[in-house]
Amino acid sequence: MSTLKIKNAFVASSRYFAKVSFSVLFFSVLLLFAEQSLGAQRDFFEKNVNYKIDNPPIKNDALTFEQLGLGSSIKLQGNLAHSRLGFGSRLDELVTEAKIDVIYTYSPSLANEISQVRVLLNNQIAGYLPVEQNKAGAPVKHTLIFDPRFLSKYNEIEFELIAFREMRCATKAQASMWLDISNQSQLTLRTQPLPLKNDFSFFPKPFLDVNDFLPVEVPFVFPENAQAETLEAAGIAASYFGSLAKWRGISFPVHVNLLPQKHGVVFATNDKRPDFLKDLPRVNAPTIQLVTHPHNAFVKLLLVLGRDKQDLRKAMEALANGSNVLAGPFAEVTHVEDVLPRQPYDAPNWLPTNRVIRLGELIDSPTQLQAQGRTPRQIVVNFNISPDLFVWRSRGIPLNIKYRYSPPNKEDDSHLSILVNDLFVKGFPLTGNGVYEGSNNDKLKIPLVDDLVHGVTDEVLVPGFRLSGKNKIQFEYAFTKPDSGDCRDLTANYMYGEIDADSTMDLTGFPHYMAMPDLKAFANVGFPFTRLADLADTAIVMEKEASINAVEAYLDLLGSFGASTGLAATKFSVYDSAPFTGIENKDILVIGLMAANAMQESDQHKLLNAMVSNIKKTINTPIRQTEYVTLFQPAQIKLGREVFKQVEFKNEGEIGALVGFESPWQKNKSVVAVVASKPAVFKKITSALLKRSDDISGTVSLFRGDEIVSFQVGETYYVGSLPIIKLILFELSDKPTLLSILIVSICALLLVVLWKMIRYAVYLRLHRHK
Amino acid sequence: MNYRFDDKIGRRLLNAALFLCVLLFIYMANLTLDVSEQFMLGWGGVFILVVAKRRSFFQKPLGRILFLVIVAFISLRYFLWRTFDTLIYTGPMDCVMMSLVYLAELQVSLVHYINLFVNLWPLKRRIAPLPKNQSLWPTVDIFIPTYTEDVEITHVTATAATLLDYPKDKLNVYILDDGSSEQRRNNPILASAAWQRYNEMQEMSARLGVGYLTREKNEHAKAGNLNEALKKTSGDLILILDCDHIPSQDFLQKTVGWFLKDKKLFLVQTPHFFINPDPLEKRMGSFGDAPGEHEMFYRAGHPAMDLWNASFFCGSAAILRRKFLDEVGGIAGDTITEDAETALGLHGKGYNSAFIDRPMVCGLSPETLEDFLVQRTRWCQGMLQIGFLKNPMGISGLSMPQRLCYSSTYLFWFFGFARFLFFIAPTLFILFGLQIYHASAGQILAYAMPNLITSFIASDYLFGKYRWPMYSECYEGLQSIFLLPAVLGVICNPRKPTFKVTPKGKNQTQDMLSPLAGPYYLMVVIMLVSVPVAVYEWITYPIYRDVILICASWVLYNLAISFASLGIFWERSQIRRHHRFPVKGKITAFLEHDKKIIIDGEMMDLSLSGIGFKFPISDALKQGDIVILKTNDSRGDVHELSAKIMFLANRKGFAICGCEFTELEQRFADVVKMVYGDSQRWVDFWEHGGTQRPSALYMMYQFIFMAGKGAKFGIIGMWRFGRESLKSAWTATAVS
Repeated sequence: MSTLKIKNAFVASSRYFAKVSFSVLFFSVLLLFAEQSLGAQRDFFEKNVNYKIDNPPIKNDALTFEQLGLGSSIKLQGNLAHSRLGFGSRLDELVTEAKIDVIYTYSPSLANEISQVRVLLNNQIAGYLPVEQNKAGAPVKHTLIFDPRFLSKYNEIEFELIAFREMRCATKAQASMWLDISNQSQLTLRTQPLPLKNDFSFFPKPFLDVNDFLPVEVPFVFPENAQAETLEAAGIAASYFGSLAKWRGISFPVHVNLLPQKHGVVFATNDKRPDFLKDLPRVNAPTIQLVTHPHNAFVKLLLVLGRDKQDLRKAMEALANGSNVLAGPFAEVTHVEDVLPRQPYDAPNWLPTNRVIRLGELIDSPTQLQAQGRTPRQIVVNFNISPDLFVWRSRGIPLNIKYRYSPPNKEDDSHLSILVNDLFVKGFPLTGNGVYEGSNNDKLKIPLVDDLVHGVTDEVLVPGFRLSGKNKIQFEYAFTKPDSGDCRDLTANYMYGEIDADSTMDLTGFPHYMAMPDLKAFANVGFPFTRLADLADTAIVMEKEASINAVEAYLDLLGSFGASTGLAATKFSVYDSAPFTGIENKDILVIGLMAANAMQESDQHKLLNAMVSNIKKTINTPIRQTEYVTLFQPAQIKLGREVFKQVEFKNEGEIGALVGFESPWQKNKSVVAVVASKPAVFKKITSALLKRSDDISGTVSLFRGDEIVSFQVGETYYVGSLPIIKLILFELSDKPTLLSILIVSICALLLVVLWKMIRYAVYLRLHRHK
Repeated sequence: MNYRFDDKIGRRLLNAALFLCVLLFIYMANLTLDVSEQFMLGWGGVFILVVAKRRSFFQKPLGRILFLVIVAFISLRYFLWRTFDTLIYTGPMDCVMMSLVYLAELQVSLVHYINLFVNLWPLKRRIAPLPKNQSLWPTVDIFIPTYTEDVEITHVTATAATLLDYPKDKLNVYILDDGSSEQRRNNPILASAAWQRYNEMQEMSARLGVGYLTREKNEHAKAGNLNEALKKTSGDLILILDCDHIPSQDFLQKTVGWFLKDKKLFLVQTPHFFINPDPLEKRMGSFGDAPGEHEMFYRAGHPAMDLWNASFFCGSAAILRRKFLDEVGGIAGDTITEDAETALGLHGKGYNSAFIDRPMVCGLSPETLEDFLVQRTRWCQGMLQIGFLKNPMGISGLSMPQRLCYSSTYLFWFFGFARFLFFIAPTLFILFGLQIYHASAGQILAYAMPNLITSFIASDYLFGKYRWPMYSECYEGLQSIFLLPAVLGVICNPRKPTFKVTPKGKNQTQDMLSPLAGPYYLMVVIMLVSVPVAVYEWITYPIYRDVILICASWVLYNLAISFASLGIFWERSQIRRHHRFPVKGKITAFLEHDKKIIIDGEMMDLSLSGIGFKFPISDALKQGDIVILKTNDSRGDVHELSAKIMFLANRKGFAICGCEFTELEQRFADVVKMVYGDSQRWVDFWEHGGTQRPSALYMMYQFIFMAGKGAKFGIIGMWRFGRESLKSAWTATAVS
């Protein structure tokens, strides 16, 4: 077993090495060419500069602690309790002033003058929050100004409560010594933009800065009427940025022939260019170039140039696959070597199911698995699970947890709690020498929960990992405060707890098989399209002259796919007109207006017909799972019907829908349609999708106003494959009659065989001698 | 009859179908179900079994197979669950104990599954009549091997052997006396006793006209003794009788026929019948009511194995064909159960065995616990030796069912190990907190309980007629702690154990606490201690209540079993020369001095020394009178013997009379013929116990009653033993 695991790991890593070496090789060739043809391109922009750097615009960014990631207020309790808060500063900005306006409330028990909150910035004392007895119990606001010299790329503010009571000793009264820092407290950064060199070595900064925790916005600029040429490249770019943005959330405002105000990406072919690039020399190969905004020295533009659609695509693929080997302002792509095709389910952000995973693989830095303090922050490990794992009657996922901690000086109630998706699973007492090497005995088995494929989830006794979506395991250390008696020394407050990176999780052995359509899986991780992380199996159908909103929706969706997989999608294709060759054996994503019927003109209106008839069927025919739906959502069903009547007959309301159904061309392939009655509605749909709204599920989701209603209706089909025996059993599982007939017939067969055998034996023993 | 499977292809087809079915069956048994579904399945199965058990359909072959298939399904589900879901490592000590308990369960389950197959359909073999023409009858040698047993016991058996219905010219009786071999006669310590025995034996043989054989050295114990005799004799068939196994007159008439019918037959085995209670029966007072312990083996086990041609030689009351014995070099001697080993060898050669389910010898059970355990230890070690040295799975020439039959027989004898672990397992959790069984209360309810109940139902279904519920538990529980060292001994060194003769016909002369009681009492005390501890833990650790409840009920169950057999250690004196057994039948008594007075009565009991009967109250008989008793047996023979009335009383409207035979010595053969000659008596005795099976509720009550009685005697024994030892210690100190 273990050799198998090692072998799997080896295969995976060798594949990775192959990829890396491929891209390194390819880009070194590419850069050689780039150097040579640099001249003309660079000259153009240096000539056209018409801006000043002397007087950079000053900007004040006010961020609440909530925006910095604090879900709730900071609760400090007891002496030396402390808490940390991090924020980053962007590469293209210089922070000239930083201050925090802290809103805090504290206990009247805290003694004047002795008690205070020490504030540290990057481990340097930055000031304190005063505690005055007469203001106790009500929110107090205090401003602290930071010395900008102490700021770096990533900063940490630490609050430490130094709490004493006037009367005698503090130890007995820890509970009364609390201080609460609101998450509405503000961090204000006064920043001044920095002019950056046009150099790919910073890339993807400044377009996307990993030290910036705020949602990302990257404007995309298109020439007019160039949808056919630019859309695919833009999609690749969107998924590329999405894969880097991770949890931040990313959107791509679309500008047609307009210069953006922020760092943006411009797509242009030799023939179709935005006006501001009219004079740029024609290119002879796929080209990517960093330039400065013509009107703003502090804003950068990424130009994606080429002769035609294919060139743009190539340029983007090259950027997506090899941005880390680029340098300089300019690169020309001569040819793109195909990297190894992706295997299904190998997205970097998804847990592999072919080997055992170390928790260390799921984090960015080792400190993420460490916590300190008496009541330290939760250690959280996030991951995605492929939603189509077949969990029916499986035995759960074994977790083997190893951990280390500062040993408490005597056995007390210190413990480590393990939570899955915010639900408590198991606690371990912290005793002994502080090392817990784990052993087979404490292999936790976390069940996988298939939430709501067919409606009601039945008896989930232990919290489980959710399929179709983000999961987290949380580890919470709690060290008991020593009760050392009155006025004796307290032990140091710095208790450490760490989860060993070698702790493992085992997702192997689950087949991929899933009932579709499942919009929840689509909303959460982009399934089924993201099954192949490069979207090689995906065809996207757009209207011929898509509205800006539709294009934005398209980009946002690809961005979220990228965020889900962690990989830029480079292999999908976009169709906006006939012929739809090759669409037959792919999963299809349709983005369009309900009223528009661009496709009906084509010879293949199958798709639209299928879609329309599906929606109609959904609404008008009696629903198969009537019992469930009518039991729990009678009102909403009615509402749904109304909504669709409106859509079909009036076509005026602001209504959108997500519809999933089986591809009319091929079994087991899926279609997801994102449709809206008016362009503006797309924004609603995509923002709900990006928020991974829980309201999206089933086969149809309707968006009206702020309301989202989902239905589990229409035909169910299955994607993936199962071992034949499991498939038979699964099919039999909801056909108890058939199953019992089968069991009975096997028993009957056994019976007959044994009976024959006995009769033969009796004959042998008693009668054959005659 | 036309059987399609009487050719190779047909048989292979059948085997392939069976194999496939079994695979599918195991697969289904391994399906993962939710606990609630399993709960329904398990208890549903139990319900079906309970309802089906007494239905007539389920007594027919097809119904019987169906019943056993359901049983197999439930227990297989349990066992697969137990194997794949409950074995969790939680620490070294836990792991060791958990593995041991699992091993014990594995043994029980294996034996259980094999038994389900073996017992599919016990063969009902009829008696094959002998041909009219006596010249076709084979010649028969009767071997009565004896070692240290009383000459008197051998005398009775030899006398009975000469009385067998068979042409005298075709019948030779030999006493094979190992107790007075030259080796023993030359041994300075044994010489005098051996010489005396030698003379007595020779004198007795001459008187009866039977052969007397002895040998130089006592090599290879009983097997060697028999082989030596084989060299010196020449009969076609050999009837082997232990020296206390008194044959009835019809023995050869009812057995030899099969040898003529089946030319490849090497063995006809008949059941052993015991006339006295074994120590446990004696203490429980169940003798004559409940079927004896050996009955299950002979009356259920052997017919079942006979179907698969695997009924084996049990050392006595069996006829062997010399020709085939010679082929394998006589009786085997590698193990201490030479009988089963010999049969295994001959089965391997492709010869057949037969079992005739009619008791036709009357033997003696060991009287004391110690003797009983000597016997069981020999069986246990011998059968395990067969497993280790002659693995039935590996011996060529055996059919699969034969392999399974032999395997189940030897695997069964690991029960000492399994039972012992079941005794201590729950106390390990209660007293030491060792985790040995990882399952929730819900799972126990869904998997373990239906399995447990199913196994009870199954054994009651299969063997209920021959063994009452809980008796197996008592017998096996009692033996476990003593057989454990034997099992371990064989595992360590399979060749080491040596033959020990089961002492029989010994008398207990005084009340005493068996010297073996110590370890058993210790175990009981440990279990008793764990009960209050469990109560304490129940109160202090509410979160473990389900486990504690399970373990505590397990301990109580164990306690009930051990209590029931506890009394056995307090052995009471018993002096009786000849065992009396109940009989039925008319008897006519004449007064010797006045033949006109005729009294018709009913026989009540019979023994070699006398007879008891009852008759309508009359003044005709008086104590001290000599009467002539006349009675017919089922064979139609008329017996007429004179006896002296020793005892006379009126009870329940009848006069009860006990007589002593007056001409015992002069007419010994006639007395033996009357007392032991009619095998129908043994059949009646068995049927009397078997057919009137009381209700389960009554048996439960009786079991609890027995447990109480056992506890009482156990405690009395302890008390007296303690008092006696204190006293003797006191006097010892006082003297010094």
